[in-house]
Amino acid sequence: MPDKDEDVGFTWLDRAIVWLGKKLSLVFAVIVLVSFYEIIQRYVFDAPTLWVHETVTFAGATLFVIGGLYALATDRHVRIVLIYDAVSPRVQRWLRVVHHLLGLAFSGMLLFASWSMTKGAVLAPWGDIRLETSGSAWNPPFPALLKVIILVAVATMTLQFVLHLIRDLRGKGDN
Amino acid sequence: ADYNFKFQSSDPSGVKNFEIQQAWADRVEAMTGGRVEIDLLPVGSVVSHTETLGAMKMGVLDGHISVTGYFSGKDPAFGLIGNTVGAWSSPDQLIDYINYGGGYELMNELYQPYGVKFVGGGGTGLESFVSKKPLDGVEDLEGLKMRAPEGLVQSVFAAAGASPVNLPGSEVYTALSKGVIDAADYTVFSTNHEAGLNDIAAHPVYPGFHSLPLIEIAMDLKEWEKLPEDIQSIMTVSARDFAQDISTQLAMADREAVNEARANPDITIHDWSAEERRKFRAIARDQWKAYAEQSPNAEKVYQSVTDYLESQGLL
Amino acid sequence: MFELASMGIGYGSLLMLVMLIALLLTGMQLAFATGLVALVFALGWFGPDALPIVSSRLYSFIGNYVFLAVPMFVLMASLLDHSGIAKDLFDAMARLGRKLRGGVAVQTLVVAVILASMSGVIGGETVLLGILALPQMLRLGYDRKLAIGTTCAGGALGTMLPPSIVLIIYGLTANVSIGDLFKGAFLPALILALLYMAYVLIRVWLNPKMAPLPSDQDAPETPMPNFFKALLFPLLSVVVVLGSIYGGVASVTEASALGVMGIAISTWIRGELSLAMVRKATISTLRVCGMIIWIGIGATALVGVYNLMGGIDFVRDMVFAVSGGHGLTTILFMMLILLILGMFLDWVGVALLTMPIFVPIVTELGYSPIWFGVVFCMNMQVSFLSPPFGPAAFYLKTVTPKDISLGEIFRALLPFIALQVVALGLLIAFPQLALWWQ
Ligand code: NA
Ligand code: NA
Repeated sequence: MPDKDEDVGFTWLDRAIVWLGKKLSLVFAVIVLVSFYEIIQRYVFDAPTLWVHETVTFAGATLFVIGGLYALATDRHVRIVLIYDAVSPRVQRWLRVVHHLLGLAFSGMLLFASWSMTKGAVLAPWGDIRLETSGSAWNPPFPALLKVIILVAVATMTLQFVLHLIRDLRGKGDN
Repeated sequence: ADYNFKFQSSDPSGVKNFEIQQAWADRVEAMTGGRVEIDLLPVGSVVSHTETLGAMKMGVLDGHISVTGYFSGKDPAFGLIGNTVGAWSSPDQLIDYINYGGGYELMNELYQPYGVKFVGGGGTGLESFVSKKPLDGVEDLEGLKMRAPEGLVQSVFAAAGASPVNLPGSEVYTALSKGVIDAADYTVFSTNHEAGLNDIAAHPVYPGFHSLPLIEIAMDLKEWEKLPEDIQSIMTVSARDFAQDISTQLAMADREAVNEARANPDITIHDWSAEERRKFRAIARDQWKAYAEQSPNAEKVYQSVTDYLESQGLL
Repeated sequence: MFELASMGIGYGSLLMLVMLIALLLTGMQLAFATGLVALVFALGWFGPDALPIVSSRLYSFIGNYVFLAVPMFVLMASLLDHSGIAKDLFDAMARLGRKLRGGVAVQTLVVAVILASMSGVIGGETVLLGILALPQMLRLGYDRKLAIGTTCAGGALGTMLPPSIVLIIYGLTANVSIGDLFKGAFLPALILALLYMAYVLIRVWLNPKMAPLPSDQDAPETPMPNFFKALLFPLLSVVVVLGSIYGGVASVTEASALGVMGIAISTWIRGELSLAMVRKATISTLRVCGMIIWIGIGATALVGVYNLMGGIDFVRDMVFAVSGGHGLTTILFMMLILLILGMFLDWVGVALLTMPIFVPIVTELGYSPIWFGVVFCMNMQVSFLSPPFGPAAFYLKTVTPKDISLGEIFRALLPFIALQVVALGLLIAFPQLALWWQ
């Protein structure tokens, strides 16, 4: 992708997400190295690991979720701007307000859904804390962890939409 | 219909398993005089195959026809009962255990807290082991690079000296043909044969010595309790019939495919001796114990299965 | 809750479509618009109990091992962008095409094909060619539309030639081997590239004014790059990646990680690798993946809800009603649907929305799902160029001079879209083009 201008973000939360995302993105490089290690282990030493496959999948999934927040913070999500670009800045602002409200409806309902999913992954039906595991020979609790990460991310996204809404209602988003 | 249910299968539409499941759904509709209508959806159409148990509790799905082992991440008990590697020599033994040996009651006890009713189940068939190398016993498994699904099977093969790796089912053919792996725990003989696996890995072990997954029909417990008794009976009896239906039909297809393979000079079918099967079973049993220690429910499964096997002189 | 279910699946589908298009036209993010429609229908059709379909599908979608190939391919492309590999490649090629009329355009397409075999995503390549090739052609006095079209269509080849993220997503949805899909797409991708080249050569032969030959004063600005140092290793890493996928030595995800290693080592040998460069590359990977994956999340959520509503049977019945169950008519009808969807939606959305329904029908009709995957990939080539939502055009626009409008880019792309449709037709008429190696 082209070397676009530095990502900053609109609100304090956006800036925090950008800061964290930039740090965490280096994990992609770690995934490359660990996958390389696995290939060497398998083909050179005939000793495939139990942990690489599940670990890199989990790390990748976490980054995908955070990437969504990052793209929202830096306004990189794909949209059709045909009409948006044709209207006046004032109408654009109101369109953005509509987007934030709809986005809030999306993330609010998703938050409820994630809550219900995550509860089942960290609590056994009889109420004890029991982290859902992958069921493999190594059996890490990644499914439970990932579901918790999704819940936290969706909560963050909801807050992002709230802050964006406040910002545009106050008219600070025009410049 | 008075009751419209959405069930999700763990098989894609278009395969034999799905057809047999669809036939069960149609039969329920006929037997209830149209009072019950079951819409059977292919795997992944609403939620992924590992999420159907939760989906029933949340009220997203009314039921599923799936493989119990997929839920081992929720409780190792499901991993142990879902594929008790080395316990059953034929699907009939598993069906007997489920229907008359305490399996049905145990499954319902395990599922009760999840808000799920175990309606019935059995085994698909004794899976055939796919291999490029001639394998005639446990010793030949040493260092064998193979594909195995997650769960107890993988631990057992690892304990037997093989190097199991994870691979999605869709990559098994290519991986075998290019020699990435030498063997695979895939599925029953007829399906393997149809997929051409025996052509590229010409030393299948049949009948298999390894996998016999439990396939089940289960549904939302609240919905179940709303059903009148006659419909409940129709459901359980038809599920019992379904278990026979699927294992018998697959066994017939298997025998047909085996005859075809025998006529093919390039394919050698290996049948392990009773002695070698016993050795593999012994390794598997150690892994059962390791699994049993992982949760109180798994311990219950271990007790139930071993008690039954002992009572029948199968150990 | 709102008793949406009472309207029936026919009107339900229509309402869903209208709602989606209305939301998209306001300029709402594609990912959130599809997700919102999914949630509204889950709630309105089934009640609040059904909402967790969306979170459950989100979880299953992102936790797929094969998906890791997506960031790996994006990372490869980002490293390529931040290195001088593409520029050296272009300069090296410049020596070859000087005496040929339309040489720079052909050279652009050759470079596009080589870059396409190193990268599996749309975007990076278009931008690179927009920076490297387009200004050269404009300076030499090439016909503007020809130059723009060549650059943009050439850049879009990145997902037609393996490795390709489009084929990966298809392979996951249709449950067919990704290695086989890559093998199948190879020849059709080359045919498409050759069609582009033939078109350029014929146009300039008919009208030489469209592509003036460079004068002798117009010598290359830069010296010939050192082939061994500059290009041998990048090309070698292509061989390693594709070789390990075709040869089945590694899974696609592993092969893509190997590819990143290959490009990283190449840039290191070229003296370009630095922590700052890696950071820039990983950050753009996070941003791009966040975008792609969330479009996928929105689409997969919508599919889950629609399936529960009974959408599979509805679309199936509709396809059979229109085509009468006739094989070729069915395929052509599907192509029409894909072309129309490709005008408005991102390819990830199109793949996830249609393939779970189309692929079983296609296999039932006796066609190869591998072939259909290549057909789908070719169809998505059109979607990159077709207005009003044409990602390749958008990417090119970010680097073109101000006087080139989006409208001009889209007009310049029309003949290339026609060529893509020709290639699509060839592929449908001769399935062997994708299956000869079997
Ligand atoms: Na490519
Ligand atoms: Na388009």
